[in-house]
Amino acid sequence: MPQLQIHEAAPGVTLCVIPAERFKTSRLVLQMALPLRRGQARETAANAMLPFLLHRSCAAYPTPRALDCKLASLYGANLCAGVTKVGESHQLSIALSMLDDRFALHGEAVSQEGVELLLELLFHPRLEGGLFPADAVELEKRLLLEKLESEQGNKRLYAMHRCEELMCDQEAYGLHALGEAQAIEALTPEDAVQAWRRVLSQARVQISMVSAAETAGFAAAVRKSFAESARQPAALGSAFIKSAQEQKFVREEQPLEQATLVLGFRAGMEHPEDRQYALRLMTDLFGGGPYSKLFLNVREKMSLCYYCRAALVRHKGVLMVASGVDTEKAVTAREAILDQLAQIGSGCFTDEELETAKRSMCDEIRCVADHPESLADWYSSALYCGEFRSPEQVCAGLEAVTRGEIIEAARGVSLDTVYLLAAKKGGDAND
Amino acid sequence: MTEIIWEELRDAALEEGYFRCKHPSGLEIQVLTKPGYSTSYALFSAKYGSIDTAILSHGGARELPEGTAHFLEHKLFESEDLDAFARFAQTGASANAFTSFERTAYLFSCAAHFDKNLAILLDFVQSPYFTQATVEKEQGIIGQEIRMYQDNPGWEVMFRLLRLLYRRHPVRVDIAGTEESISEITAELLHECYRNFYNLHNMVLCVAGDVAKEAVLQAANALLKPTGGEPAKRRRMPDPEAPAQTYTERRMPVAVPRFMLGWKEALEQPELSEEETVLADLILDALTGECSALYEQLLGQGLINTGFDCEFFSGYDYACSLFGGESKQPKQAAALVEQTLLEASAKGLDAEDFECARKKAYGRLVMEYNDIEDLALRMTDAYFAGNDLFARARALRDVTLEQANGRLRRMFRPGWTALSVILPLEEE
Repeated sequence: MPQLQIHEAAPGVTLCVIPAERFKTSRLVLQMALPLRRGQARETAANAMLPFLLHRSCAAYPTPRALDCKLASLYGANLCAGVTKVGESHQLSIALSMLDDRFALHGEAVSQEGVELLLELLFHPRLEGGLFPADAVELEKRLLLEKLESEQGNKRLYAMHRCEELMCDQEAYGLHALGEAQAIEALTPEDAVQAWRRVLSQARVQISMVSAAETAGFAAAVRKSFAESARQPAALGSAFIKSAQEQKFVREEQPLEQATLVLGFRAGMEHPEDRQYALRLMTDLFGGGPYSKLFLNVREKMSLCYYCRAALVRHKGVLMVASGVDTEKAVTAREAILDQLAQIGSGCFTDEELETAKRSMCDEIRCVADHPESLADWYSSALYCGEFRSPEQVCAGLEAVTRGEIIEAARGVSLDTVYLLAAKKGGDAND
Repeated sequence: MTEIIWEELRDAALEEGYFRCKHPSGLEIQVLTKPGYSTSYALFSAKYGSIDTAILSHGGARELPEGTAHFLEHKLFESEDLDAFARFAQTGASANAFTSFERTAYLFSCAAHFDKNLAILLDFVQSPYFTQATVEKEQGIIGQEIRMYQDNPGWEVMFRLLRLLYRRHPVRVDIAGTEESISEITAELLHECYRNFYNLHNMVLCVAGDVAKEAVLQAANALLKPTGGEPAKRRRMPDPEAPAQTYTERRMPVAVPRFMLGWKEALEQPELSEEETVLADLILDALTGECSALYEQLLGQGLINTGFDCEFFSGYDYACSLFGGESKQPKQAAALVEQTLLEASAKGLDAEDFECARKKAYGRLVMEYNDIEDLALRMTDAYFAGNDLFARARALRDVTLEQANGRLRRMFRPGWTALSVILPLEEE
């Protein structure tokens, strides 16, 4: 694989160029990160709205339709905006996938136009009298509110967010990345323009490009664009709580066929690098693929749930287990999940199981290189840890984990919060 | 052994090519090699999906319980000693299977040990093992899966719509069946379905990625067991009437109402040609996609959010256009779509809109060629439809505005629509 190229384009602005000739498209990802803070609901909501607002129009293409038609004429270039939290950082992103010039039917310079367009969106939004137009802001407010509301129809996501909210009710991680409904409703064009200025001056930025095209012009264009903004990049980081203090149990009901059970654990970490390979591997052995303890025992052998998976949030040091269960079996399922974790902590797993987890994780990691999207995403975590590790380096880290380290990692995990979204039957009068 | 003759197919504009052959066992094998890739993906599929609700023989038809194809897929993963997941876990591959309306597919992707993984795939799909006891256990697991889908508003809104659009065609039935229908499934029935539909002449193996065709052939030669007997025939299920009922709603714990409008097409043949399908996709995008005046109007009036989407949904003896999303005023949103499409049918497409839709669709198609999973799926779809992989790209390059307008005039008949809505729960 050709060498990764990393440039510092401006203070707190990193460029990451990943040359890849095997693909038919280029992938361009702009990540902008700010600290997520409690007590700043309005700022959080304005930040959350910003990438959507920026990706819907700009000075050159002043309506969503005008911009969409431009994208269509670039062979369906795919422009997406997103907001998420990475630990206690608020990540705003805009990403563009576009056709490599070789495949344009009439010789158009698609990649160059795409790069220019992305920079145009960030630096030259459509402003009227120095503000985002009120109609554009109102549209984004409605869309953001509906996005937040529509989560209630997705029980897995909803239950996961509820558990995070309950478990981290004093920490920034308990906040929703999209912001609070009330704060979104109150947003004004002023708030939006302040968020835009905040991002240009304070956000930690990484722009990654996976492409077969010549990218020298790209680096120069980014450098030139940022040269004009005075930058004071914010410090990012998360509060790590090593172990749970007291356990919380919360049960809520909705008229559903099935219940969703989420267990939130403190992973025993003190920073994102803290025994990260052992914990990632332990999490996989516990509840990763179909060879995991949760799948083989809680799902297959005991038939307690339809799905049951564990995931480590290493930028916050929490481990979450989510499961679809029958309401009446929820307590049994909870005990069975905890029992599987205890078994790993007492060494009740075979070397073969450990090797299987290693092989499967590494195989999956090596697949990252075969998609431009996943390859760009892979390096996105460098924005938070400052290190560009290749898939091979991470595989080497995982392969070196010992049995003893797995046991120790499992013993350091402590249960913090149990959230059950229970099914109350017979809620549907229409059926 | 007879000599294998590989046929090579290429598309110069896409800079892609692949090989196919008919193996003496009866199986169609297709291999697309991707230089520079580090993983491989294999998809072994049977032309047997949820719409196949009967086994046809000379004596007539044996009716099958709904959800049998999906049930059989679950059970094939099991064997007498070690189930397929456990075997793939030993090599590190990720494996899976899925059942759709028209097919059942078994797959793996891997970065290492391709030969071993392919051997596992070919072996377990050809080694059915089910007993009455394992069938009964599965009834419980699949029952849970069926109930899980009933909590999914996206799933519910669509199947409730399909049940209005189609009174007879089995596309109206949930792929997994119902708890009642799967209770009728027995081990004996599964064996009979297996013998009928898993005949190698009714199957295809598509491989894409970091792999040479010789490696695929070697595994095929070693493991494929020639199947005798007649391969399965798909039953015709014409359903040529306008929907009798045109509206349905259900209340669920959602915050924003969801809707899906369906527009059924009257079919003369059971299957549409590649061109007809491509034209339908282009028409839908030109008239209702992000660049259309309609989309701007819907969004501007607050009738949709950006989750709004349209899809041309077609298969054996069914074809319809689906428009769906979230809306606080679902009936108004649907009415505006309906009215706009009827007007457009009379007026024809704008030439610029059509070219824009074509460019977008072509670009998106080229993008799919990055992805070995998409490629293997597309190769499979194309094979079962009697096409080659590149037929869609050729059609996209060649179709004309006149053809599109001809197609448009036949697509949207007045009165052939239905609307499905999911509403939030009423306050208690």
